[in-house]
Amino acid sequence: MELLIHEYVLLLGNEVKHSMHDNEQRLFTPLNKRVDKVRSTLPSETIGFWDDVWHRFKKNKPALIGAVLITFFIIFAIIGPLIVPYEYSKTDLISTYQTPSRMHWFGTDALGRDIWSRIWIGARVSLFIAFVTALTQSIIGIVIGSISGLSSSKVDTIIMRFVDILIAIPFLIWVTIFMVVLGPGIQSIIFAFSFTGWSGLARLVRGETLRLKNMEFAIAAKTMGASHLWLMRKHIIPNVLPLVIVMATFQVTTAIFSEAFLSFIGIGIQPPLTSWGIMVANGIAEMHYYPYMLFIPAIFISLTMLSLQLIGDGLRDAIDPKMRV
Amino acid sequence: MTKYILNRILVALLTMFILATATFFLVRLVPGDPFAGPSVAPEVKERLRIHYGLDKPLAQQYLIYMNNILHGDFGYSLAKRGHRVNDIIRDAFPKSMDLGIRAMVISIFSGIFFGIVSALNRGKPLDYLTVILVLIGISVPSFVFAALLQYFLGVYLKILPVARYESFRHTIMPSFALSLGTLAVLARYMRASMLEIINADYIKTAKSKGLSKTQIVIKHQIRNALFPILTILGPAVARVLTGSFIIESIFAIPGLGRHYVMSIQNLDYTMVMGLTLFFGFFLIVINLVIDFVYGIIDPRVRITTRK
Repeated sequence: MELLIHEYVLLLGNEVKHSMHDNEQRLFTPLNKRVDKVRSTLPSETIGFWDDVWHRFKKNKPALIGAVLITFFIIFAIIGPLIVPYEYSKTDLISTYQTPSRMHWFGTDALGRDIWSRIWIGARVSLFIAFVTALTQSIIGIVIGSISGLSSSKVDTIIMRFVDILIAIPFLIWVTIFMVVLGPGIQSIIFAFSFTGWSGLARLVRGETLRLKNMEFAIAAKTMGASHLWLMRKHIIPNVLPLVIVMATFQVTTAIFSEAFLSFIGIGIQPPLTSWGIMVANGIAEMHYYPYMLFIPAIFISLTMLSLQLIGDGLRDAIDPKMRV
Repeated sequence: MTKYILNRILVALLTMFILATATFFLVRLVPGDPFAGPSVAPEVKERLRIHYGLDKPLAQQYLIYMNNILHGDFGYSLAKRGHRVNDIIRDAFPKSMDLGIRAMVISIFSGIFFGIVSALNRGKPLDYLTVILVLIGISVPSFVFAALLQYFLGVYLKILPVARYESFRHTIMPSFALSLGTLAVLARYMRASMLEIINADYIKTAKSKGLSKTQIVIKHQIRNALFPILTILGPAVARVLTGSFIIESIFAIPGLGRHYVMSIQNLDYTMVMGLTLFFGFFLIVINLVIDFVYGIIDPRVRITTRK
């Protein structure tokens, strides 16, 4: 844009200078056309960062398959419960433990509930919790991380010591204590995950902030009197976002596993609502005689985790090939 | 070096203190009555409250609690009347330790082995096989893997006992189930670590010196690739520890993990607090040891503390 204005001024200058000379043709060309001419010499289309990422991601077949699978799961989690033939919580004591059949695609459980219907309610619960918590964790991580990176070294040290302490104890133990306090339920899970799972993200954002704040554009902004908030909004967040997105993908995986774990041990989702973790727990109890009750949720949860892992790996390689592990 | 060690110890102590305080206040926030139950008479309840010191003001309770912890006393279990948390930990810890060490040994040795094999055969079928194995190991949740193992080996093929922890045959399935995730993570890091130094100057020097390929791989590549692995041993131990919650529950192993899950289900607060602190302290000490070892091996860490 700046280049354009520059040329524009030059053109105007030329106008005055050459108006008396043989440059009639130039003189009588409408100004906007001349600007167009200048514009046409610039590259018609610049390749944006995300186009580049998408281009690389597309080439990664496993990641693409993962993305397709997850999209399919998300769509089904949204519309599945509306179109399945049975209510997920409807018990039918006459047709308990039905093996998969035309009536019940995935069979029925101990209370005669249709497992195909329950799988999609489970998907809704698991995916909803996972994506919401990954989002809240990212927001908290970005805010705390960039504050820590931009603040004085004293504030930075205090925040980072706190993060160290949070990281020293495994996520699962923190979450379990919080769940004991908050009681079971979706809101409790979301709160517990959001509150305890941001530390790794904050550390990442802080590290990037420290690097970014000493780069030319950030220093230039600072000399022109930009506030911390402005720096954060205009320079830090857009630059750390790709890394945060990669990490958030892995947070989704952690959240799905942790929710399943909590539900598995009985302090997560409560009946009649269900989640894949509960279904695996029920499957383990019944596996001697009805192994399909274990296999079905096991396959779904494993496929979801695998897809997310593939997407995360693919995104990481596409965004920053140097990060490759 | 002394400064580095002192710094790490100070941070570890601070972490322990904050963990203890956090668990105390969090658990005090829990709604409900630990002594609730139809068979408990009000007088008995009152006596229990006094016995456990729950009638005193919160600040005083906190001081008593901290003092007890300083003396290594976690109090009495609420669900198992008359049992001290310390005694339960002492009985259950060896079982968990046994399982944990088996799982760690399996995951460290096979993880590093797979990582090396994969890196040396980069781009060949063996590499892809390892990469797929690693992906499955990372993606499949431990409880799903454990349950499937239990079904196929225990129920379907009947070649290994389904549950309990009595003989060597009993230990095989739980150890493998517990090690899978850590194994995968270690293999992945080892592979990356090997590939990273493949173009390092000292490898080139060794090559130009005319060392044989095996000598380079063993003396230079593997040796140097192992150092970064040390840094993820801490998280690996944490992973095995939290993994034991599930594995011990599924295989009915009377270890700490199963006690932890049961105490959560029974709302046995003193037990939950005691075990949380025990796990926390255990991991902090392990990490401290790893930090020391790393500080001795690699002098750079002493100056720039880990990011």
